[in-house]
Amino acid sequence: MEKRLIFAVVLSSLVLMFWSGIFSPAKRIAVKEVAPQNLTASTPLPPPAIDAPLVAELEQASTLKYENKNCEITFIENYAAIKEITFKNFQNHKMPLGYGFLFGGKDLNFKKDFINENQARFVQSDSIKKISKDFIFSKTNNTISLEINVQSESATPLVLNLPLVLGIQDFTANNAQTRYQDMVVAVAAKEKPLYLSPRKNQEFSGIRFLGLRDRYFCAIISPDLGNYTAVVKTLTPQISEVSLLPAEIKLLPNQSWKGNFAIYLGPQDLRIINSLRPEWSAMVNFGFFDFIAQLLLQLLAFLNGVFHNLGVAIILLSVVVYLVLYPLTLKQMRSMKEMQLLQPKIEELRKIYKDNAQKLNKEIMELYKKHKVNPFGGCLPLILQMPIFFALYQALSRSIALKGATFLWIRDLSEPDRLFLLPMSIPVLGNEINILPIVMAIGMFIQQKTSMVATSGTSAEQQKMMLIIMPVMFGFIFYHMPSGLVLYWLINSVLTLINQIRVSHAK
Amino acid sequence: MSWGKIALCLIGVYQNYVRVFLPQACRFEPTCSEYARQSIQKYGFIKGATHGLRRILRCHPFSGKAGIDPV
Repeated sequence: MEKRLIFAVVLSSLVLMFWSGIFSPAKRIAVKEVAPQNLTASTPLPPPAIDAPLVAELEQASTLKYENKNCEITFIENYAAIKEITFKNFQNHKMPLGYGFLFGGKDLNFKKDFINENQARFVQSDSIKKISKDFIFSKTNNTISLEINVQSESATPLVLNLPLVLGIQDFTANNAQTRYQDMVVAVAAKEKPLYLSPRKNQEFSGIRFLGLRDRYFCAIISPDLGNYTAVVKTLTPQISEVSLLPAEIKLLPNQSWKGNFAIYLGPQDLRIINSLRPEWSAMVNFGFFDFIAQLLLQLLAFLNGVFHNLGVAIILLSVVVYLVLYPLTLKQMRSMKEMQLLQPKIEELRKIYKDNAQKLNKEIMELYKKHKVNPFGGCLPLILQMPIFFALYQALSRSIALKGATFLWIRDLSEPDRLFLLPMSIPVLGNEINILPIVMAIGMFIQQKTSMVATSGTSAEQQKMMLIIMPVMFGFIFYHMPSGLVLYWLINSVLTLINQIRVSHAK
Repeated sequence: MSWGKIALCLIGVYQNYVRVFLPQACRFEPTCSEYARQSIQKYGFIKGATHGLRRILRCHPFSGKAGIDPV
């Protein structure tokens, strides 16, 4: 028993260190953004840091701007590539692509031909070929159509290998986006797209579309015609470049090659993407529990539409889930009351087997079997809660629709509530005071205390230990989680508590 | 490594590292995880895991069963 206690304490501190090691750096950057004089509804994410040589390269490049009412695009002129997009409708969040849509490598030297509100045209010419790149912007949505034309100027046949970069992803530890970045590859041979992290070199042929995403935004490209191969290349262990490689271009003198691409650069909003091109909707994915997460998002959107507040919607979601599982809870509480009738018999057994804990436990279990009751409800109700919980976590941390929603003192339900900031930093907890997780831990403690069933020997000891450790553990684990998620769990605990009090009073 | 060994290993990780942090929930003896472990050892992966899953599906307040329920 004691060994187990020590083990639990050591393990929990390890978990905490691990946890803060993973999540603190990113959060600390985010905290800096919340300058006290500038408490906007939501905090813009810090721009991701890119590895030093690449930063220098990208900073020195001469840039050009394109702007429309939705976004601002920064081009690198001599690459004819997109460095980053700023989304004006989303608190000026930026999505960096490094040198997105670079065609034919960095050695080609492009020049701007013209940029106007509809189009940006870049041209390049050397002794053997002429290339033109046209970015044609949509006036109504976040799509771009890219037309590339390669014209042979050579007297002899040409064979060219010209990759088109979609973008680069930076996985350095101080990039707040690192754990959200991944890529989506849809190939002709498979109906379902692949979701993977571009952390190692790999290739996929027969591409239908290729996408890169960070926390809220994504870049998708679909070639109109032709057989393209997606190539993932790790430039450094932390930085990956993802590109589309057309089949070898063979040009006779005076012949030309044309490539057309449909591009989406914008938020991972299912409604928008689905209306543009249904197959692209696979880009909006919430991981393993995607199906449940999508359902929850729809339910939340509906409740939000009715009550015009996402916090209220989350509370109601928690109530709905509680009510769905309510029959199980009620039955368990009833059986707890039946347990009390068995108490005299258990006491009797306790006297008989007071020196033999193992035998006693067995006899008690035998008694439970005979009377078909148990103080514990069972594993299934616990397991049923898990997918909903994980799905909500995914949805809250990724969904652009939930970003920046306020509730009471909470400025953003997708971030910790940060009631106030401390002047100094406490280990593990950092310099922010989050009230919700603390309230939740206290709520859990009270709820467990009221539901505690008097049991024998070791298991009573164990229960007492759990009574403290559980809420503390959960408090720590939840400390840096999205406040919407903590709110969900808090409401769940409160409902359980109220119900328990109600059942135990109705004798 | 066979599927059975992988499953036993995962159950071991759960029993030693995860269960410590969860509230006691199981209404049976042995617990669902122990039941699954024993039945995978006894019957192999497919049959054993199926028995384990069916046990978890039995482990709720309406099952009308509780207490000792060996493999």
